[in-house]
Amino acid sequence: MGGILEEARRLGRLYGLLTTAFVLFVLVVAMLSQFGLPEPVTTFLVVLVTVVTYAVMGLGSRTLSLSGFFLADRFVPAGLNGMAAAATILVFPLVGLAGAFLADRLLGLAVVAGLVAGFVLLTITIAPYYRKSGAVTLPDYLAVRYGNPLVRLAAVVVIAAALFPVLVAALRIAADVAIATLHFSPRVAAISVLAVVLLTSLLGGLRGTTRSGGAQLVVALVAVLVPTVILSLQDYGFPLPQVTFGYAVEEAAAETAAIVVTPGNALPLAGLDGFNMLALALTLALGIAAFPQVVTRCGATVGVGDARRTAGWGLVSIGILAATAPALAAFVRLAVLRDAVGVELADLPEWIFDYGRMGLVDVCGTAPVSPAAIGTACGAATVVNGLAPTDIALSADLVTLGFADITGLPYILTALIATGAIAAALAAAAAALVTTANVLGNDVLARIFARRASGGRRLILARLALVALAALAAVVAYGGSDRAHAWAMAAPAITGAGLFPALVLGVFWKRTTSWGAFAAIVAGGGTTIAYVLLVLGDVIAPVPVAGLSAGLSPAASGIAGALLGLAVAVLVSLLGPAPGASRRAVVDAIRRPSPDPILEDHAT
Amino acid sequence: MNGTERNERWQGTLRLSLAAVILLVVFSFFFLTLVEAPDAGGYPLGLVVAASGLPLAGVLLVFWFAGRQERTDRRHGVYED
Repeated sequence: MGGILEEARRLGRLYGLLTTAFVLFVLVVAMLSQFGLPEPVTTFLVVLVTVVTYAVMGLGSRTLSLSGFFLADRFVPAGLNGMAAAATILVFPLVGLAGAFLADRLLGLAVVAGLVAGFVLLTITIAPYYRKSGAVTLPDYLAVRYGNPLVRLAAVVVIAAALFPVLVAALRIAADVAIATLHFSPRVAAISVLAVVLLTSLLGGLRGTTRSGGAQLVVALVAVLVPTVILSLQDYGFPLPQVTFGYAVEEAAAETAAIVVTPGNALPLAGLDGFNMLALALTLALGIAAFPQVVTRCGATVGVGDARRTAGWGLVSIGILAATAPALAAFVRLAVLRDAVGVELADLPEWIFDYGRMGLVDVCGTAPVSPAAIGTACGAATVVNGLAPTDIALSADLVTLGFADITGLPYILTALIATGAIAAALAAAAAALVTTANVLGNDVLARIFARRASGGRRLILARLALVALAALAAVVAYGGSDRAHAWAMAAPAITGAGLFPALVLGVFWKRTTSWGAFAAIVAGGGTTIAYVLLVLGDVIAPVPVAGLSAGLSPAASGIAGALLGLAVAVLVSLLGPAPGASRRAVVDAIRRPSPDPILEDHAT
Repeated sequence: MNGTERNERWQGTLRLSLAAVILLVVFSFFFLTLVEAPDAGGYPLGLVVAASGLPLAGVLLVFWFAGRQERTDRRHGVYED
């Protein structure tokens, strides 16, 4: 335990300093804005300072070594690594979780349970063995274990199908937030997002995204904590929103009707009832445990023990967010009931119209552009009695992004939340970009063009893959299609079904053969990718399941694919000859944490 | 280190992993049922406890698992340093 405490202190100092500096800076800007500094200048200052910090961190961690680019030199302590691991996926719960809690508290908690279980399973079943193998990428790990190039190839396809939409969606979320709440023009937003993502990833690879990821995580958590703590202090005199939100729920308990929550762009909240909720939690658990941008991080630690503890530190950050999300939901619900329900239409708060024009608020099924328009849409009774809770539909993402506006806090806090959401989205985009580019560079390009090439040549290939991928993703993200969001939400289903069975059986069942693993990836990953694409493309309807209103959601379908993958792996493995002695020796070596390297020759 | 010793260490790891997975399932369902409990006097105690407790239990489980695993590794002489 001594090691943990010492490390906690070291990281606490470094990132504590960073956090203090950031909070102080926000306070100074907030005071300046009270003295009449115009809003756009306030926003610009906050965004600029944070973004320049990430860029400097990315530039400062530039590297010319393969090990630095692919593995952050294997010198990252568990604490920082856990923060960076959490940062790779934080944007989705950060933007969407409060909306999930507002829609249905059980749904919100099911998402939290899935995330927590995912990080715990990562520690128990994957992280230490991945770190021990010495693999550079996740397909590399599977190739070390199974020694079959087809397994590597199948894993590459699954990873590309899961992470490319995540990259596109994260680029989109970052730009959309900048446009909606910070009033950037679309072109400026797209170019600056892409520039920052490239600055944090191109020169430093995983080394760059480790440091900038830690900083982005701090900004994201501060952005959620500061406004909720301020509101909690102001309304309940106690700075722990994670506890005081209960009083907000109590105050709003008289009104039993629910505010309508429409699905946003971060979490799959559409048509989730009954079994889908359980399936979503299980899918998230398997999918996050096998999520390549999280697993790859576990290869960057100093040793196997740090790889195990990475998920623990990651969960601390996820936990802070998970405990705060229901508070955001409760405060928003109370504010909507107080300010927007039963008041005269002329007295409706400004945010309804502002966000209504952006399509994030619906009143009686139409966008609320003016009090008169609301009167027309809702009918004469509304003009007399005001709106009912069920007349108002908020986009799930607005519960977090519009929190400060809805609860009547100053604009600087809206800008702060937006900065946090952008930070998390930039971290997710950079992580997806580096992970996918490393897979393309190491497992595809280097195998075709540079089997015997020097480290320098392979580094150039990895960077070329990164730039090409970033350009392609930017074209898709800013080209106008909205499909990427729904596909990205199904990414954990694809990784859980496609990668989890082969990863876990590879360590825990020696009898698993390379053909068994290959068949599992093709069967589990293939069917899930097909299901996701066919349902999202409106080619087929979701599979009906008893008790579900809308059928099995693609985002929750990973559990079915994973079970199929497990069954296929066992069946195909038992049908073929048992793995030979040298292959069993590789499994023994992966299971042993002592520093005896697994020979490169085993990977083909 | 001989074959049986290695085997014993792996058996210990398997038992520990299984115990951790069982703990994970048990506390996840415990907190999920807690959230559905009726709000005593209007204050949603179940929700408040579950939202903070579930991630906290996960953090403790990871560090407990890592600590126990390291003890097993040390006992069998395969600790990394």
